[in-house]
Amino acid sequence: MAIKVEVCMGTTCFVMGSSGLQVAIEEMVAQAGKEVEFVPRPCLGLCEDNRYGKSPYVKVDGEVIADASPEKIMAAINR
Amino acid sequence: MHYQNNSSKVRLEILIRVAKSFKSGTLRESVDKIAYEMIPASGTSLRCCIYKSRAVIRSRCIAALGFALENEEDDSTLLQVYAEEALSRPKPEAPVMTVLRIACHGCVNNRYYVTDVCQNCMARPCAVNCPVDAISFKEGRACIDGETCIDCGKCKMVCPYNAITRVSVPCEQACPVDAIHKDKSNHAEIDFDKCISCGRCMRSCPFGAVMDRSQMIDVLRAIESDKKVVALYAPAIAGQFPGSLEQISQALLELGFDDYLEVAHGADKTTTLEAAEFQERILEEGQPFMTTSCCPAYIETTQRHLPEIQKYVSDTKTPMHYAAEQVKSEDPETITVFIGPCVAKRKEGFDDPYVDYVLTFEEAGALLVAEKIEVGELEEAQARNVASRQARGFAVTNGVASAVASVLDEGAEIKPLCINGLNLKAIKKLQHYATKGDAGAYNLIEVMACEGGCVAGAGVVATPKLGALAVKRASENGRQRDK
Repeated sequence: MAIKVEVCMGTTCFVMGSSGLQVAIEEMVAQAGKEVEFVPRPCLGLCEDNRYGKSPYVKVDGEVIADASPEKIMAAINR
Repeated sequence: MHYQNNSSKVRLEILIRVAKSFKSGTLRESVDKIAYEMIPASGTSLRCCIYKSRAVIRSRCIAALGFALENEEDDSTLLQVYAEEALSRPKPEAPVMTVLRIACHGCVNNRYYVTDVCQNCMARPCAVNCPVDAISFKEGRACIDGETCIDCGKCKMVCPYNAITRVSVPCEQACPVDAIHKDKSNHAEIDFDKCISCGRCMRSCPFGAVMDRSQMIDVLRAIESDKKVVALYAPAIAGQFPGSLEQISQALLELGFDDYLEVAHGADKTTTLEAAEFQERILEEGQPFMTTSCCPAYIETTQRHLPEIQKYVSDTKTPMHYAAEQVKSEDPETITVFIGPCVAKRKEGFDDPYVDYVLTFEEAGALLVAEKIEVGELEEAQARNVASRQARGFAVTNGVASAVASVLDEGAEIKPLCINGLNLKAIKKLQHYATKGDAGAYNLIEVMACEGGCVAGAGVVATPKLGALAVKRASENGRQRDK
C-alpha cells in the first residue's frame, strides 16, 4: 500500500517552500525503498489564523506535518 | 546553495507580517511587536536564546522596511520611528544589500581544521608535508596553528582518513567579487564600492545575516495612492506561484495593480536590437566578440571590476528597461513596478528613470499571502498578446544567446559562449578575453551572474530546478516570432 503524501500547494505553503518538497524527498524515498504517492493539494486551510509561520503543511497518510521539511516528512513516512 | 531553508522562511514571514500590518493600517503600532509575536515567551529559539532571536528579528524588520542596518546609530530606536519614515520617504535608496551585524555569527577564519576523525597515526603525512610546519599534536590528534597556516590545503589532501576539513566563511566564499569580508570584530562587512548587488551572500549565509532592502512599503503606498501602478513581471515568474501565468497575472490585479505587462515583451525588443547589433558589430564590422548586457549584476561587475570589457558589452538595453519605457511612453504619470527574481535589478532600477520600484518574488509572495490570494483558484486574466517563445526563455541560461541566434539569418556565424554563473574564475576569463581582444572560438558571450540563469536569482521563492521547468512550459506557450 503506497503511503500517501499530500503536499499543500496553496499560495502560502508554496511561497514558504512546498514547491521544492517533492523533489527534495524523491531521492530519499527511493533509497529507503518506500512506495510513496505524492499528491499535490490546493490550500488545505491549515495556515488559517496567522499560522503561516508553520507553513508549509504536508499530510502523510492523514497525519498533519507542520513546518514540513524533507527530514520531518521522511520521519513520518518511516513511522 | 539551497534555496529553501529557515533563513528564507524567516525573511518571508517577516515580510508577510509587515505587509499585513500595512494593509490593516497598523504598521506604526504593530511593527515593534513582530519580534514578540514570532518568538513568544514560551517559544523556542534557533539561536542562543529568545532575546537574541527577537533582537535579530528587530533588525530584519528594519531591512524589511527598506533601511540599511549599517546606518543604525541607536539600537534602542523604536521600529515605529522607522515605520514613520518608510511611510513618508519619497523613494527607496541604494545600496541594495545590508549586513545585520547582530545576526552575523562571526564565522571562524581558520580555514583548515582537523576533525575528531583524526586517528593520531604514526605516519603523520599532514605534519610531514606541511610547508610551514603549522601542525602539532595535542590531546590525541593533529592540530593546525591558524596563525602559521598558509591555507595551501596539502594536509587535507594527504590525510588517509579525510580527517581534515576546509572550514570556509560562506559569505566570502559565495561572493564572486570579493566584496564581503570580516571586519576587525570578525563580523561580515560589505565593501559597497566592490559590491555588485547580486545577493549571493544573502542566500548563502547560514545565519541569514545579509538581507536586501525591501521596497514593499513603497509599492504598497503607490498602490494605495491615486496614481496608476503597472506591474512588469519577469519571465522567471512562471512557477514561482501555484498557478498558470494567466492566474498569476490576475493575482497581480487582485493585489491592486491597475495593470500588468510581461517583461518578455521588452525581451523581444532586446532580442531584435541585440541581434541587429551583433550583425553590425561582429558580422559586418568584424569586431572580435560582444557580450550580452541584460544581467544587472554583470553590468555592475563591468563597471566596478572589468572596465576593460566595457567596449565589448552590447549597448542594447535590458528587457526591464524597454518594458518600463513602453509603459511610461503611453502615460508618463504611470508608476512602474518590476517584479522579478533578481536583487541586482534594484540597482538597475535606481539608475533607470523609467523604473520606479523593483520587487523580488519573495516580496510579491509575501503580498499574496498577506492578502490571502489563492493564485491557483483565480480565474485566468483575459488573454492578451503574448510575448514570444524566445523572449519568455530569457530567464534561463542560454535563453538570451539562443534568442539572438534564432533571429539572425540562416547560416549566420554566431558562436555563443554561456558564462553560467559569475565567480572569480569566470571573471578572470572575461578579463583575459578583454585584454587580449579575442574570445577564442566565441563571438557572443552571454553572461549570467546566477548559475542556471535568472530562475536562480537571489529573490526567488521556488527552487531553480522547478523554476526552469515552468519557464520552459511558459515559453512553449509563447508566440512564434516572425524574425
